Amino acid sequence: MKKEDPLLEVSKLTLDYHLGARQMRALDRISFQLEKGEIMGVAGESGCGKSTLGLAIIKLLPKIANIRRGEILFKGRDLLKISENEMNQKIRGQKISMIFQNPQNALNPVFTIEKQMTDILRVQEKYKNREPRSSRYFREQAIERLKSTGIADPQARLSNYPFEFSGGMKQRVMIGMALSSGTSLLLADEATTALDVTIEAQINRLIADLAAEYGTSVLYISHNLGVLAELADRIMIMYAGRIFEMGATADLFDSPYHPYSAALLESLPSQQTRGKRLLSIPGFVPPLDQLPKGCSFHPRCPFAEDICKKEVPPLEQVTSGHFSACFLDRKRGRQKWQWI
Amino acid sequence: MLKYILKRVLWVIPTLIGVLIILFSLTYMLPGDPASAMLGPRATPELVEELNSRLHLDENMPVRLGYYLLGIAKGDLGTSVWSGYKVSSLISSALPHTALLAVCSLGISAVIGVFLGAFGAIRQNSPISRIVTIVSLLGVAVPDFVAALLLMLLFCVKFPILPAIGAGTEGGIGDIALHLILPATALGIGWVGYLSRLTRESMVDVLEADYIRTAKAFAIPQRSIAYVYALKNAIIPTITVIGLGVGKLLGGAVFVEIIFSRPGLGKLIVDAVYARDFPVVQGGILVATVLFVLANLLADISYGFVNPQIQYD
Repeated sequence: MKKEDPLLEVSKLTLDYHLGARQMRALDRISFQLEKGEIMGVAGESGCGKSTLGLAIIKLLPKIANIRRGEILFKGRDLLKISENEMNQKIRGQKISMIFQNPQNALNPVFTIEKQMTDILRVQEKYKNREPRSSRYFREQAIERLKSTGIADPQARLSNYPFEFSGGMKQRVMIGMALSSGTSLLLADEATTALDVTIEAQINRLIADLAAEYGTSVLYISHNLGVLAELADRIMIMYAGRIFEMGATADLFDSPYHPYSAALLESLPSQQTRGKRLLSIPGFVPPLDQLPKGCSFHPRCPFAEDICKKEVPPLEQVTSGHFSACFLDRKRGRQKWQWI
Repeated sequence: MLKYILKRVLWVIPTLIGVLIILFSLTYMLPGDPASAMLGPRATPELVEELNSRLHLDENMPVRLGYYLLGIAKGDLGTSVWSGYKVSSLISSALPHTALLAVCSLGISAVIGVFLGAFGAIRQNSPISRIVTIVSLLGVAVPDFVAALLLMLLFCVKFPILPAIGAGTEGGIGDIALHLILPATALGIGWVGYLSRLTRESMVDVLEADYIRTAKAFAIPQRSIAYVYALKNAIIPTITVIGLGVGKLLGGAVFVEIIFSRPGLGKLIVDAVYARDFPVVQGGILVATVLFVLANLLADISYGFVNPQIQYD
């Protein structure tokens, strides 16, 4: 049997932000594939381009963003070549949905949940050129969606305003808006970062369960590797607009190829590190318009050699399905990077 | 909600008593007395005294205030010392002209101002948006009486197409509307500028909000996002300003009514001040105060319709 085509295939996506005269490369030759039903975790420090990647896929980038080159193939079609109109009519909210970081502000404060949910359902129905339906139909649909996210008493909750919901409930509402059986790809941008830990776990479980039920692929953007370890099938580590390492979650957690990934894992609290000082990577992510020459991580990397300062290491496959962008792992072979 | 409205309406009473105390104190400070103003320089002291006692002008202030409040309780605002008409009937014939002027100019300028502001925010860098900004700045900068004179010069003298004076009460509705155009424009032009700037600023902020991005991510059409999702949020500060602005509007109406000789409340009060017709001044200002307080109440209630987080109790 022929292997199914990937749902999403991003290749060499390169994107700049223009701020006045300053030009910043926010994404640099990003290439990856996402299979149907797969959950891919995207991790990295703030400002590494994770959110930009999500916004680029659903084409909601701010005006200062400028895509230089690359492709975003979704079901074989390049989203970058699809008109804004078609994006709205066929893709956004239907095939590709996005949920955002701060549920406190993600819902419109002056409209009821019913209005916000039924508006979305109504425009989608209109885009599909179906017969107009009654308000009652959309209300029923909204109730179904709320029910699927585990909100108790959805009928009554529909007439509430966002401020009458807790943060976790709001995120459930967002998930209800975003996920249905037709959704092929969910972009979750730090969806649970603003929530407390128990709620975070519940919401993540919900996303994973619904995604599994509907066969939805998820690009789960988070700075929290611990969350990704539980949720994601594969993980992509980003740094300053580039992919540093990408591979199956267990593989990457067991023995990362890239010194940066190793450092991120070292800085996670775990049973082994109990009672010890956690790693804090020296320095900070450089501003995108002042990236160092060569590997953008070399000023912070204690293992860096001459070549790291001169050339940009390409992302290459190191073992089957595992990619890394470092000269050293290729030279020295896979090894335990001793940060501490 | 009902309880809240009732409470607010009852609060009008202490406000009015405060206003009356100030008014009565002012009439003490004004030079000249009503009796000699009414009876002329050649009145005999007996006549003056008789009039003073009839109007309770010989009593001290608290007593006069007491008499006055008693009158109000009976629905009597007193009698004009100048014309002999009941103050209440003078006011009730003047009030509709002012109310019409205020409602038209504020209503129309609110609609135009909010729309221009929203438009300016949505098309931030278009030439039309720049023109809107300049025009609204001009509108804010030009005082309403200057605008009134300029409009009169332009449309009544240079191109005599619109009536210059009066309220057109003799004619039909068409005539009244015709007489309303210039005064309402003069009074409203500053408001268009002010409200459009205010709405524009708040709209620019709202358009950056997370929930607007959410709406975009769910393919809500651009136009609904701007004029429904964003505008309802952006309009909240504008409503506050409109409510507070009613007082300023009544002030502006005085000038405009005088310039256009509209027989409204503002003109009535100012004419009464010149004539030292204190009962009319007091009654007029009293009614204006009530209007002001009620307008603020209306604005406060209207918040509830745009901002669900406001609860009344």
